[in-house]
Amino acid sequence: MSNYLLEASFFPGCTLKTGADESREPMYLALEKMGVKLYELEDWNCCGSSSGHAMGHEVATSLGARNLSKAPLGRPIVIPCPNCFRNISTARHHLIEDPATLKANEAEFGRINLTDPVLNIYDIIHHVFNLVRMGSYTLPETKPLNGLKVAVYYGCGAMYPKALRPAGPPRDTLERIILEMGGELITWPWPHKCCSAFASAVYPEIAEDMVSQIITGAREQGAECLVTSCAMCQMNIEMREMPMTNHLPVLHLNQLLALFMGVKASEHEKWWKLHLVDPRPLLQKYNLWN
Amino acid sequence: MEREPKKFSSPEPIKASDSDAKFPKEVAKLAGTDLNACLTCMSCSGGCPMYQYMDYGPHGIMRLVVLGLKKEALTSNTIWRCLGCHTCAAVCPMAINIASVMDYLRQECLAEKLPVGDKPLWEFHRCMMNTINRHGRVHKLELMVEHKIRNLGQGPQAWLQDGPLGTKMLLMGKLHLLASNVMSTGKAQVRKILAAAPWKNY
Repeated sequence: MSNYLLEASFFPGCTLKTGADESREPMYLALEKMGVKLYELEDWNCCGSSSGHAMGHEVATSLGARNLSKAPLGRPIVIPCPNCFRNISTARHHLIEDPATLKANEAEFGRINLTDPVLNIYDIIHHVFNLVRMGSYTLPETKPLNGLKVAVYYGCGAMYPKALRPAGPPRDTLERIILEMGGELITWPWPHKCCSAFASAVYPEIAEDMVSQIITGAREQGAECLVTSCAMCQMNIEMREMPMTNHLPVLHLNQLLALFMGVKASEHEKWWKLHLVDPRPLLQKYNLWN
Repeated sequence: MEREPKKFSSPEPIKASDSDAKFPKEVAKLAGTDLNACLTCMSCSGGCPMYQYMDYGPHGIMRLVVLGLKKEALTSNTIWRCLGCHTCAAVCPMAINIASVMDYLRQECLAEKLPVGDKPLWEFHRCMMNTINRHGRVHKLELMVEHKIRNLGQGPQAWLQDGPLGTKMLLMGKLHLLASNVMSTGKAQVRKILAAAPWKNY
């Protein structure tokens, strides 16, 4: 019997692996404290990012199939990046729907794990908090967020084709998590607005236009920070709000979770140095610096 | 980039001879969705974050496809300015997977070697595929540098764009200098997958 509540396979994705250290480290620390153990998939490859599905239908499906073939049976597969999650879920959907594609891909990569569910990072956190609320699981010492005013930002990562999520975009998962951690939610117009994705790299003026709508929307409703689970959105918004006069810190969900789980300053100090907009004054104001 | 005036009012009437009757069926089959369900309610264009920069917008493309106007659909800049955010697919009341239609049209445009509607965005896709081809994973720094080199023709503003910000992020350690790689057998598998797609020969 393992000591963990849940053991899961973990697909980091390129952004978390070769960039957003300030999101990857808190995720490991916080989930470990919550009793979730992540095992990184062996030799995973890129899910196709924003171009795989645009350049070839089979490309996206096969890239996803290769990743799923690396997942051992019996463990759910956690994919923290919303775009990777959508790409791999779509690939999984095609493999389940189309036996010919599945057969061709299995010939190439061996057994493909289609039995275990593919989960988003907030599905896991939400699940643990549900268990806590029902009284069947207790967390070790926690440190509430003292009413930090948060604008929850899903980005386009919550948008799926209807075949994958018939009920439409999730409307309360991140919100529930924030409330559970003792934060305060604001109601604002753009939780599902696109952050401009790769257009940010090609046409910065478009990205600045979109990001300024997001930031002013959140600020007008009294938010003090934006929280997102997508590392790409976080980077895009921070980069493109730089020319604006009023900056709003953009935090990763994992960072708030780590603070909630009582990670000490010696460990979390280095994360904030990787932000273009420094969130440290905000955290000190709410006495979250422990 | 300038906001795009929409090309809805065509000076010439659409002739039946321009229409390719097989095209809508082909798209519906490969995109795995029922195009005849479209109500032209424009929910997709209402939700589209790039609508103001497109020449037709998602609902316009859906009309072009249903009418069989293949050339207009494949050479429009709408299909390249689509960011793949799936908002259209999520809001469509008839559950049409519009994002998947856009994906198919892009592939078809490359397979038929037609001129792309928006060159810098297509070059971005190409650079992304190139970095996956090299490492099996995306390396952001390499992607940006290659994109800059391929877009030298866009003028000095494009060369310097984001230089200082990118350097700052690199020095901060937000972007890693070195790529993360798939093992060699995996790389061969990934390259085989990518080589099968039409972008390779464009």
